[in-house]
Amino acid sequence: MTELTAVIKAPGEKLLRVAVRHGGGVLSSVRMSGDFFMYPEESIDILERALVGVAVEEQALIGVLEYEISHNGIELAGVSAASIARAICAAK
Amino acid sequence: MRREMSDMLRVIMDGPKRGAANMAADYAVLLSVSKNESPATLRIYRWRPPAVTIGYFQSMRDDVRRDECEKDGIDVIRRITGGGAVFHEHEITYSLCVPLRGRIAVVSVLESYRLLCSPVIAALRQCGIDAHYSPVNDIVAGGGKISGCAQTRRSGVLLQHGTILLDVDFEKMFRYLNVPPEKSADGGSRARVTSIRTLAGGRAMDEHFIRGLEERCADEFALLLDADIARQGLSGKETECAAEIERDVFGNERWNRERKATFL
Repeated sequence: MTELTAVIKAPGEKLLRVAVRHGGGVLSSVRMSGDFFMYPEESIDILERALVGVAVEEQALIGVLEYEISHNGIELAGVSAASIARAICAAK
Repeated sequence: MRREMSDMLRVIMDGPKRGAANMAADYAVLLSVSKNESPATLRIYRWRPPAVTIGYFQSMRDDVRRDECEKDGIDVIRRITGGGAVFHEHEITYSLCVPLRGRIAVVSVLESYRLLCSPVIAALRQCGIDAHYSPVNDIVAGGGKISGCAQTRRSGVLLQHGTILLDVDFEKMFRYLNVPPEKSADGGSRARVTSIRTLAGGRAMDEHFIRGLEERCADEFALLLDADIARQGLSGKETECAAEIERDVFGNERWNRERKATFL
């Protein structure tokens, strides 16, 4: 499975780069990088793991991300669930 | 009345260190502050050789031109704070470790950036630089970014890394950092970044001026924290701990390349 990538910079946000693999429209791996902030920092591993098995579809991805963010008390700055979802869907 | 440790801001005017040693010293201070063994600490330091640091979430492969850095003997280290890649050469670099108590503990992340940028803004203004806060983590002057910072919160301590740009060598910056076109879509780094040299001329390189700006930063941080300045170095325990962290984390490819580490 080849890795697909996207780089986006939503207005007012920082740069976000994603590298994903998916088969049959379902994510099998996600890696995010960029100059954004996330507290606690290790939460990025929770978000990357939570996205495995989710359909590559913006609303589904936003739903999972928003649940994990609120459930784990994660704070984001310079990045958002919406831009992560958009970047994943834009990856090619 | 005896002043308690919570009323003190330890100010360390440190000498130059290698990149991994600088990042390890900051982490050792964070641990020591978290155990209440050291007071809140402002460390002002230099880099020798010059270094590139990348943010916690950045990619060593995509955000840095590591081969160019290696060729020129430039250290490359991943920070424990988020934010972007920085080429550290002609700048004032500081780290602030404060216990997450009182005002700093209750404000939002965004508000804590505004709060902890204010001493640097005040110090710059006292030196004739008309500086302003620009959310999330920048200070701007004369239409460009002159200072950036990045925070982490661990073990009940807030650590802020920050830089004030004295001079910028764009040729080196673009040689060592990989700035994607998406990042420069809003004008490009050359348009977005400024320095004291650009705004105030040659005195940016004058040691007397630099010392003055550093001292004003220390005074303003102490004022914000309502603390008295205590001038000390790292404790023996912090120095030992820093050496261990340098070896195990910041001097280790597992951390720098893959963001993986077992912190103490």
